Amino acid sequence: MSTTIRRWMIATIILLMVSGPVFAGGQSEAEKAGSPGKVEMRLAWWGATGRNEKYLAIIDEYQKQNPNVLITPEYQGWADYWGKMATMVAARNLPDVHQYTNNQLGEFYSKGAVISLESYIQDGTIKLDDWNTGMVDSGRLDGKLVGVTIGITAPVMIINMTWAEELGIEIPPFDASFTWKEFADWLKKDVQPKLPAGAYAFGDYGMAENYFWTWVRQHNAEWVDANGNYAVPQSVLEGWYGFIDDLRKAGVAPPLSFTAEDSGKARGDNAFNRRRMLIRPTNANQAKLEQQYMAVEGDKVEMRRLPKQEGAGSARECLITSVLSIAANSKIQDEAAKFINFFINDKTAQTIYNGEIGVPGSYTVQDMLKPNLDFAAAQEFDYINMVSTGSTPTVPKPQGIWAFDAEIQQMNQQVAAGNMTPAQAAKATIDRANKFLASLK
Amino acid sequence: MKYPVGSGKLSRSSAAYLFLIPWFIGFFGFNLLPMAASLFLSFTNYNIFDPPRFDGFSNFIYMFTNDWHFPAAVSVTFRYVFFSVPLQLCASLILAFLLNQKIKGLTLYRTLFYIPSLLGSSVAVGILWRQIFSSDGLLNIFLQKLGLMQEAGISWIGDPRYALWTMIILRIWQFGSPMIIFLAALKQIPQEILEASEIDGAGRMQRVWRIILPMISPIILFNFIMQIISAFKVFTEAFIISGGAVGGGVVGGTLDSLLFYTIHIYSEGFLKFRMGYASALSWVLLLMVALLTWIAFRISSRLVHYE
Amino acid sequence: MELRPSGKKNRKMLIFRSFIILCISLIVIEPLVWMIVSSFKPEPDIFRYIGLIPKRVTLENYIEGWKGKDLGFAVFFSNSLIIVAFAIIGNLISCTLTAYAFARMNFRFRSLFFALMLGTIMLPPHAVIIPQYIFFFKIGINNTFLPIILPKFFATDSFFIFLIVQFMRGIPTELDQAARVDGCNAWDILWRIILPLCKPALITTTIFTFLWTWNDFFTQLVYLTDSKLQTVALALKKFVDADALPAYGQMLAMSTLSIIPILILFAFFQRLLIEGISTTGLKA
Repeated sequence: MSTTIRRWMIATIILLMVSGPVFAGGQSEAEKAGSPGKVEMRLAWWGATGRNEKYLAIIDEYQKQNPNVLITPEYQGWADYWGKMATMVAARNLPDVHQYTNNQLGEFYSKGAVISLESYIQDGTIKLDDWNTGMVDSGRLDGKLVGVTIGITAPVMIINMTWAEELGIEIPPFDASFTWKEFADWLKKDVQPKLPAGAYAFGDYGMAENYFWTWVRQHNAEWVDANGNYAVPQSVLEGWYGFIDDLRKAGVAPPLSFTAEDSGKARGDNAFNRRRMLIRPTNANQAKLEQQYMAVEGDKVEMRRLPKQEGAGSARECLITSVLSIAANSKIQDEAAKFINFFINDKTAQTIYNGEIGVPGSYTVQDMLKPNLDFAAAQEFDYINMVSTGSTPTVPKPQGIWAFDAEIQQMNQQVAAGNMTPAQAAKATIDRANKFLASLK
Repeated sequence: MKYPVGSGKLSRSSAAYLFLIPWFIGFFGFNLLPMAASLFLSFTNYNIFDPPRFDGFSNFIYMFTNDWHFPAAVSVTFRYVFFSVPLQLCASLILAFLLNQKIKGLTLYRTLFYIPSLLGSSVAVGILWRQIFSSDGLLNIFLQKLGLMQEAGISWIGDPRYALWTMIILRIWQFGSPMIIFLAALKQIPQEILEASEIDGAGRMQRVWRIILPMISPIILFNFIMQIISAFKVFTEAFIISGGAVGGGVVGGTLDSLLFYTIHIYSEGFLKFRMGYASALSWVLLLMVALLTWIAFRISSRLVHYE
Repeated sequence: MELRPSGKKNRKMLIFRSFIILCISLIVIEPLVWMIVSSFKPEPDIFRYIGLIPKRVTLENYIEGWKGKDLGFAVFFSNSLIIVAFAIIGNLISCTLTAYAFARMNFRFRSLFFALMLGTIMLPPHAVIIPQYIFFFKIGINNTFLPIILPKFFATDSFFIFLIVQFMRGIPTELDQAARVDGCNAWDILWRIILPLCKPALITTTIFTFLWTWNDFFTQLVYLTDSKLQTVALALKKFVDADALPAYGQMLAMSTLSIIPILILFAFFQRLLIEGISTTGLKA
């Protein structure tokens, strides 16, 4: 036997001996210890560095206070979180506690993936007494609470105030009376002319699906009618595509390739960060990060509301909530509810979390956090409180509508490329939406 | 001097089956059942939540009449395979020849050329490529220095006309993998044969065409088929370059210019939860690849020389 | 097989060829140089000053990236290495046995099985992952390395079976016949004659198994949910996800580090790839 082969065999044997534990893999310590009464819980969330550590710290804190509980964390980035969901749903193997936004919550609840939490509210396991009822309701479906909000965000515009000042651009009040038309006129007349070549006043909002949701709400439109057909009127869609198309043609908003490339850029590298865009559409919790980043460079960034439709009362921004839900296949639902209550109400936990994913719904927590907020987080709190006051509830999307968001984005690209007029795009959108919804039945 | 074709094959089926036991277990245990399940699902409306409901051919009808992304998925993928595989293989073959000689620094070059393949389909490669082909990326800076590009450079990845070419170039850049296989094949050619042909007065090009290429033709076929199959399955790099993978950007790039077939499958099955339809798409892909492979085998039976 | 240059004309050709190779290698290597250089730049500089010569140099990407926040890269590296090591062993054993049967034996349904074998790799993994996941879930080995490693021991990587088959077919059958005359059975022929001549194929199998298993993002994502089981491929992705300030520098630094194991493997086996095969010695 040649030496090479002999060496391989020895290496294999050693490897097999050393890696015995490999096959134990994810076996929990509780099983190894063989101790009864140990509860194992799986907690899943989406996040990245900076956010993940907070969840892990909260887990540590909970395990300290409840030594018989062992929580296994499962975390990925946003895109990969949903990639994993499919296989877990199929095998009915969802983590005991996991997250949704009200974009998908409706769909998952109606398919029985998560349970109703009403019983836990009634018996006091989950305490929501001192909570903003509007925010609580963002996790309610058919009157039942299926997800407890851990943070609310909303679409927002962020403006590079320092740069605007340098260019001599005056920022209008952006108050409740500001309409889209006034916004567009202001951009064309007072902003774009003052910007250097290659810079744009306002980003293409086509990628911001929460802007679209707001647009639809602003027209009091429904997503789906009683027959299950797509119910967003053609005029509303035409207005959506048309508004930004008009701005693109006027040179106020960037062209297709620019936006396509920019939307994939890292924070710190995108057009807004590089002073090639003055106003950027985004969400409030993302805006916070942009503000913190730009402050390092010396640029002050502020949040502003979306404009409203002509003749409307206000901008009626949609409220996007991130919630924790309990999987229907969970075998430890009671303990899971206890954990959720800890997460949202415990002072230590919420101090750690510090409004990471959005503004918390509990008044007590808000009051506790307010004194220590940095300028960006404080703006976020104020903004969310402002847009949620007197606004209509944001009803979770029906089945398929969240998945269809991607189509709206792609349709916007077609308009941007000049392949379709806004009117054609509107018609095509309805057509495709109906085909898509029909295929889901 | 060629080795005559012999009948050296052992004709005992039972011995063969013994050697095939691992494959049998693997095939029936890990492949056959999931593949059969996936085939079944392609005739259903399976959406992961509810039990699948048999729908006959409706998925396939939808695919060819109503799926407005399907033509793009096919076009992008076929164009990608058609351009990138031959170019990549030519590069790898030529470089295998070049590296098969006594040149200074041979080992270093061999390793160097292989490193792009080492990055494989990792996140780093996608990010690298996005960086190089951005409007303010390395390529444009280089072109600007040469005076070939204006100030606000073309966004190679954002512009639907060019985005696919960034992926094609990526594949060609990773010629190291088939190159290694070609090198191994070239190494397997016995020295005596080449020396004998030199003595017989054969010129360089004659040696290449008459001896070397025929002797490594099984490997050329292998690389050709394997690269085609892998090109049809490309996913991660395209997903990252188009931006869909990290949570920004549209799945499939600008105007579906990067909507590779596998990305379309992923989007339908994992993002829209239309698993039945995604299965149908997968099986249509398999049929297309199988057909191409079969054609390749048929054509090759005249060109490939076995012992 | 090596071509020996001789004479003036050949020397000129050689220099010309060397020059071409040099140019090509510079172009090929440039993205990697950028990657390595950028890993030593502080984070804000990476995309702002994208030249190949850094304005500022730092080691923080390596230090922070390795330490990680919760689990350090040592865990990810060791997980990846374990998975890859077992995958290599599994593939070498099972694919060689299977390839031998296809290449050297006649049996009923050989063409059919060959076609089936190739067919298994034509289906994109996304199509079969859900039935496979459910299967592994039902037998309880989800959230371990087993769903990834186990199939390797059962010849599921048809790429390597096909590769080794093609190499085996290039070995003259006279050697088999001679061995049989000497009284060898099928196993002896494989072990003593075929395998040693197949070294390039086996080395290639090792290297490629390493590479593909190391980078096999989706399968690892689906089966390794526990954060302690995460691998390098998964961890690298987390550096650049959208929800927070991304850490491209750390991602590039750790990517650079993660090439090192396979570079070592490759350098180690290069000699065997160089040595080549000579069949004359076997006649003795």
